[in-house]
Amino acid sequence: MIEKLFLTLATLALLHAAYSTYEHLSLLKALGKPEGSLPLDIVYESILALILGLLGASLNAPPLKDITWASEMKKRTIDGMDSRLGFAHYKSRGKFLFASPHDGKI
Amino acid sequence: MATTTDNAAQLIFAPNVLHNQALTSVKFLSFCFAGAVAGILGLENWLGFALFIASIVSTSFIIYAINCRGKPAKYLPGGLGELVNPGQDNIFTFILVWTLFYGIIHVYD
Repeated sequence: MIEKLFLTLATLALLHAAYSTYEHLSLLKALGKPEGSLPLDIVYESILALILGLLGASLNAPPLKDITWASEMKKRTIDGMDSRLGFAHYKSRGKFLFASPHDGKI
Repeated sequence: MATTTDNAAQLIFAPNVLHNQALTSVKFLSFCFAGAVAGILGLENWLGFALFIASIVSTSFIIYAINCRGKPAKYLPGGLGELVNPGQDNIFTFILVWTLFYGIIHVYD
C-alpha cells in the first residue's frame, strides 16, 4: 500500500521537476541570459524523488524466501518428502489396539 | 562422485531462488529513477556516471536493509556480491533514461 504511494509520489515529483527545469530553461532562453545552475529547489525535489523511488521499488518487491532446503523442510514433514515405500506394510493392529479389554474373545 | 559444488548446490532450494529474482525488477526501477534524475539535473559525462555509482550504493544499501534484512546470504546464492551487482543490462537502462530526459529537457526546443 505505502509502496505504491511512494512510487506514485516519486514519479509525480520527477515529472514536476522535469517540467520545472524545462520552464526554467525556456525562461533563460527567452531572456537571453546565459545558462546558470539549476534552482536549488528543483535539485532537492529530484533527489527526493530518487530516494522515494528507491524506497518504493524496494518495498514493492514481494518478501524474499529463504533459499536453503533446511528452511523449506521447516514447512513440511519428512513423511511428505520421503515415504519410505520399501518399508510400507498394510497389516493393521487396530483390531487389537482399540478392542475393549474385557471382550472375552481372546 | 559428487564434487564440492554439487554438495553445496544440493542444499539450495531452487524454486525459492527463482522467487528471489524479484530483486532484478527492484534494481531496474531504481536505475530508471536514477537515470531520470541524471537527465533532469543536466549531469554530463563523469558526473552522470558518478550518480550511477551513487545509485548502485544506495540501491544495494536499501535492498540490504529492507529486503534482505541484513542477511543477504540467506536469500541470495551469491551473497553480498550478487546484491551489489547492478545486473548486466541496467547500465544501459540508466544511460537510456538519462539521455531521454536530458534530450527532452535540455536539448529539445
